[in-house]
Amino acid sequence: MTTTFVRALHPRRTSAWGRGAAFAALVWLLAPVPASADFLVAPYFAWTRNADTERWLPGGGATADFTTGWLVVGGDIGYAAGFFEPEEDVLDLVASSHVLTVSGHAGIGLPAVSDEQRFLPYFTAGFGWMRQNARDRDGLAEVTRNDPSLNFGGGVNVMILEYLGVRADLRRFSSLRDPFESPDPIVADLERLHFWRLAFGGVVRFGRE
Amino acid sequence: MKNSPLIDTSRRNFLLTAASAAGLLVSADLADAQDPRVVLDAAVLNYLLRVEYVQAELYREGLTDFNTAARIRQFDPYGGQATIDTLRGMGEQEAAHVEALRSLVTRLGMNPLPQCTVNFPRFATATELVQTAFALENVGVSAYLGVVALLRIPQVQTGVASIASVQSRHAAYVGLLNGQSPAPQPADTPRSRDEVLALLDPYIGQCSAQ
Repeated sequence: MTTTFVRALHPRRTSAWGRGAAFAALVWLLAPVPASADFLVAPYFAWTRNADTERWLPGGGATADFTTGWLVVGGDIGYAAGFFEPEEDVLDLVASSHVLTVSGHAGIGLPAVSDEQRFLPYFTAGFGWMRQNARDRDGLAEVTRNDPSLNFGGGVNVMILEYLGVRADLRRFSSLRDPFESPDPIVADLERLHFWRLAFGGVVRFGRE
Repeated sequence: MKNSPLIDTSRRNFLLTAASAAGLLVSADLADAQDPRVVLDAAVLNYLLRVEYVQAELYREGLTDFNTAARIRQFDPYGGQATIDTLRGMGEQEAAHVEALRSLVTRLGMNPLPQCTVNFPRFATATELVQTAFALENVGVSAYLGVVALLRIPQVQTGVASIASVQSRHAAYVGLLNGQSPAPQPADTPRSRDEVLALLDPYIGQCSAQ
């Protein structure tokens, strides 16, 4: 609405600004960068947010990325323990639970054009598999789901040395599968599972050209 | 080479059929999927079932012996036959609680805890029965209180809360029979699972499918 209003006031100027910005973005994206093809491996510690229980669950995993120019392609495996357990399970009713994600992703990242370049932000989105499991202590209730899932997020690699750095990543995972639908509407309020994951770890760079 | 309309139609039909079949397969798979978020609620319900099995059996088995005039007279200090009838009614309510909890577990798509073997020693006096009822009803109140914060599904919360309030009424009634205040303190204290199971341990045995 704001854009329309501004256009109504200054149609020519706005249109020129828009065209200019689009052209600048295009030039920026298509500008040749020095050849750089890196292979990054990033093991991490992660905290995964369960909105239902309002808890951040500890976990970990690893990401492997191939970067060339602006393109980032890779895969990730992440694990969060105790995902479906309440914060204070004084009754100790859930024996174990977890969420495991295995996914591929692609996106854009600032290319490392020189060894002096320390901060390398990126944004990726991907598709994968989300395994959810919970098991009660009596062995009467156990559920394992294997859902297709989407994820998107971004972060930054901070290279401390040429081949070694640290990484921070914030990512959202969303199941693509509907929740359990009971024959009667007792669990009708459940939504598709989704959560945020905040990860910190190291990053090792291989194959620098 | 240009495709004939016949070939186009066949290809379109094939693609539509294949897509429909794939869609059906996927949707059938998705519809049956259970959800791990209900496991905690089901575990809570099964935990409470253990308490209810013991309570229901207390009144059913315990009152069976009070069927002769001499045995019934033991209840005279507590109100006589009317009290026995009230306790029988409470036993029927405990049995109804068992059914309600089992039904909720089933509706969550999980298996309810099978019936447990419950053994009480023969109550030599009405006083023994009333004292045991007082202890077990209060175990029930503290067990229900301990699970309140764990349940996340609204209908399960409502079901459990509606049973918990009746547990409190039972505890108040048998408290009065025991000469205690029906509400001895302004707030009750929840018990942990270990505490509750330790208090049930003298009476409860194996829980297995019959």
